[in-house]
Amino acid sequence: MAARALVFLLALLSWVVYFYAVDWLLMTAQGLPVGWNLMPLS
Amino acid sequence: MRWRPLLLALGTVALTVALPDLGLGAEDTGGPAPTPTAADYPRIAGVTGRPVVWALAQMHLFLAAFVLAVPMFVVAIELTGVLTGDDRYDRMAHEFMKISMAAYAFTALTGGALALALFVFYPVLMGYLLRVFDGQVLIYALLFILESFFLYLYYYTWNALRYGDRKWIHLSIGVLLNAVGTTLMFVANSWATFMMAPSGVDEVGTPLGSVWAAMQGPLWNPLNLHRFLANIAYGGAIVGAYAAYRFLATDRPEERAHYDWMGYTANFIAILGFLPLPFAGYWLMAEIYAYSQQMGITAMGGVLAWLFIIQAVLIGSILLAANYYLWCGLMRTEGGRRFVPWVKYIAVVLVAGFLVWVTPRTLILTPQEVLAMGGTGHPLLGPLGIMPAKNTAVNLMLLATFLSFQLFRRASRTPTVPWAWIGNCVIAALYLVAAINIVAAGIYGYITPTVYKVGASVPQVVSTLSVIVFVLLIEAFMYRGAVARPIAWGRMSSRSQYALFVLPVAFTWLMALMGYIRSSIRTYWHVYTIMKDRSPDAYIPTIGEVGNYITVITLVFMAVIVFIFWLSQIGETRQAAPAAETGR
Repeated sequence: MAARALVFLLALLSWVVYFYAVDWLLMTAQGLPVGWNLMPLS
Repeated sequence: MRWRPLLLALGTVALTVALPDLGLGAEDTGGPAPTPTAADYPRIAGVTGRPVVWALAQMHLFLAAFVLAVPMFVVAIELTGVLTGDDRYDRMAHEFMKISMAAYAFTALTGGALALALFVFYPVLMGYLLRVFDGQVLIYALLFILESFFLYLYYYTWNALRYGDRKWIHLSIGVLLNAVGTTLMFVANSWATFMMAPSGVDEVGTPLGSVWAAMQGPLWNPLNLHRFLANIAYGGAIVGAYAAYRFLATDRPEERAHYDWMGYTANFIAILGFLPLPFAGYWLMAEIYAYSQQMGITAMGGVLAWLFIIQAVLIGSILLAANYYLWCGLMRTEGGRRFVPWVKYIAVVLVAGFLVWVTPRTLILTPQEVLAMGGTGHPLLGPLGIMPAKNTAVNLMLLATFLSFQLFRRASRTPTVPWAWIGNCVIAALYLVAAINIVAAGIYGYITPTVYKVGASVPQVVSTLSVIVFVLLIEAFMYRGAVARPIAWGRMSSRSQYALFVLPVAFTWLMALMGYIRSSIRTYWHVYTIMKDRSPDAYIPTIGEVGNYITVITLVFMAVIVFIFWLSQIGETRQAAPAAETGR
């Protein structure tokens, strides 16, 4: 059970890194600097 | 030795694909686009051109999409039969072709009628298009002849070229048929995309002397890809309905098993074509925006925007029906039962996504309703009407559909590799992180300026695609040498078969609707920004009028399809010989 949880956690972390990289790459490729870029509050 | 026919076929394919390049150098440019007057649009027996051309073009497109798509997956199924040595694939592929053959004559008939109607009702426009596309029209005619030739050759040599090297010759004929068919469609697509985003002409429409330049408009390839995928999904949906029709019409267990399997395969093809379709549509729409922002706004934000809500209802119905069919299919195997408890969670995601997708941004309201709500948008549900919410919903729905499909595949196989549990952990984590990424990008869309909002939809799409690609990849290794569980083909409820009927009806309606949108975003132009439409029909009809019209077209087409199914069935029926006369 512990091994299962560990593998799942590791997989989870790896996918987080993967998707962060994907998001970063795709946004940068569109010329959109990565960050919060929130709408100015009015 | 066995590769020789294939090489021959590939060579011919290369020649066929290159054919449009030959002889496309038009010399006589003949000046700018003409300016027709109202008198140039004949009215025959009180009927103007638009309703006639609209109905005929749509009917022709339905049929053509179907007859072009079927040989594509038929060749794939035939090849599977050869590679696996399982004769059932061959029989099924042959039966799919039989349905398509019956539809072919109707396709040619509506195509001829459409061409006639176009020349009668829009002579000035057709004269101009002929001038722009010049010798390409002859190539189209040649391609059509080749298409007929290969189609009949492919169908009628099926049993004569059945085994060994001859089978490879037959498969090569199939590949040629598809190469010609796809080229035929690409050529015809270029006429539609030229009218939407003209290229190869100057700003007043004078052809610049290259037909190839006129074909290569900015929307050509997005439309090519979109129609290519949509055709596969549509063809799969229609043959699925045929299988359902035959399944319901018989009581014999072996026939039920055969048609159940056929229906399953057809549904699989339909989903396979359908899953990447939103992305092709997205590309087409992005190119439309890039070409003309005005045109993009007319489609998505202006008078036609409400039709996208109807689109959402139809696509939602397709996804619900396809999933429902897969869930019913879980009962075919003993291994499928353990997945049944999961179904309700997938259903929740699908229904929630569906509801978000159909939520409109604005409503048509009475003044009292506006007062009661405090504005034209609903205070709670209004925010669900904008694109980040829809993109999130659609991507989650596609993920859920893919999960259904994955569970179904798992139901009939048990992995034997020792690391299967690790594979499961990795896949579960992938779904979770991808879903979180999709939702997070959606929420981000609300709090960021428009350019980021649009940009954030790309990672959402790639998240969905990532899940599909990685899961297929991991499972390909994980299920190597897996133990197959017996599948009880034919053990399906009648209700599940009605889901197979829903698919082609919803697809047909959807194509009529979206085809109308694609065509009408030109508004009052025949050829956008170059040649004005001066006919009395040069206006965008009301949504109700459009709804009625496309519904009638859909109904007529479904009647034709039922007739084609019946023809295919009656073709197998033999009347019993009269009993020998006995002594009087």
